[in-house]
Amino acid sequence: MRMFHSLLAGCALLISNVALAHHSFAVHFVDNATATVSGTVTGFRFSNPHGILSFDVKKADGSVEQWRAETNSPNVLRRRGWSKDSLKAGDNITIIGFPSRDGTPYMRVSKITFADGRELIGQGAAAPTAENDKD
Amino acid sequence: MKILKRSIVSAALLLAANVYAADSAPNFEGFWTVQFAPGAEGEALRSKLPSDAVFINDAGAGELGEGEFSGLVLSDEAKAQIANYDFKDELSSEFACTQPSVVLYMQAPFPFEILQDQKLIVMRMEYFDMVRVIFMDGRAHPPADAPHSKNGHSVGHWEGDELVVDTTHIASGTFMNNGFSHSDDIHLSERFRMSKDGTTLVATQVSEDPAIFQGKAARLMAWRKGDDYIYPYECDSSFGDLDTTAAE
Repeated sequence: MRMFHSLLAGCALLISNVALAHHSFAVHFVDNATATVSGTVTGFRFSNPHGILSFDVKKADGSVEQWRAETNSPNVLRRRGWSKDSLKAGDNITIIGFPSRDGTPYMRVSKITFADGRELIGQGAAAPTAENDKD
Repeated sequence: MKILKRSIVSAALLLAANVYAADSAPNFEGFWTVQFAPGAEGEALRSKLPSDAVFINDAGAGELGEGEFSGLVLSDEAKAQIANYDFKDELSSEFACTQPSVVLYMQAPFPFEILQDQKLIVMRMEYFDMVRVIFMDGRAHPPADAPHSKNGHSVGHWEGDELVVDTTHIASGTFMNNGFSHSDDIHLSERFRMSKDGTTLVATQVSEDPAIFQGKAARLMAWRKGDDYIYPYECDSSFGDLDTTAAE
């Protein structure tokens, strides 16, 4: 298992945490902290209102915890180079994201890093521009 | 006869004035992308908001959390909606592709295109593929019992270089993303203005909906000239029902 949560209030990644539109970001996700989770992709759907990926996280006791993460709207992410083929089952990834307020294994993607160092930018300051970063 | 002549002359003068106003109106055409900072242009427009309006800071970079209403005094009906609202339902496939009304989609963080003619202004929204028509030909709103839609019925006119739009007949929809909807009787007043260099568009939105909240609620929105296209939205109602074999 390689999972750790880091509270990074005021972190430079958090220029914009807003996520209006089809559901409230502020209600569903902790907006002043991020979590970092590593795992293996099991599924990815790149469609509006939000992309969804599922991934398995291996825990210290050897068991596997199934996680899900939602992305900004694919319309926003296409402009940042994402596509439906950006993630494939079997990809080993590390996700920095905003954790679910209810403590379930669910998060909002800020950044995904692949094992080879490639990065996908989701919601946050690491994106080229904070504009358009709300859904 | 004298009255008839006077009416004809008045109508002709009004028509001429409208044509002149439309001819001299700024050209808003193009693709616009949300801009978080409203800038001086936006603040100037904000200063024109009614002094008794409650400002809702959920456009641009703002968002309100659960139980935050910006000081709006909600009606019993709105409070009842909130009491029965379960935010977990928002993650359901049923909720995912419910169209927003013009009240909410105008402040959504997606680009839109404006097509402009003397008699008609069209706003093609990327968000949910909504298409908004603003009649500029002087027509009135339809009767109160005419069909309502998420886009509503909009009529507009120019006041100097500002576009003033009045919208009614808006079907109930999410008002501010925190547990209650506006009613079918909401009334929207908007004012749009473009910067002199044509790179920034700002707008204020004033809502009145006595069944849901007291007085007026106001928003401020801003956009910059953006890409030369918008993407189709094509909402997927299976959101949340991820087939984990899809990526294999």
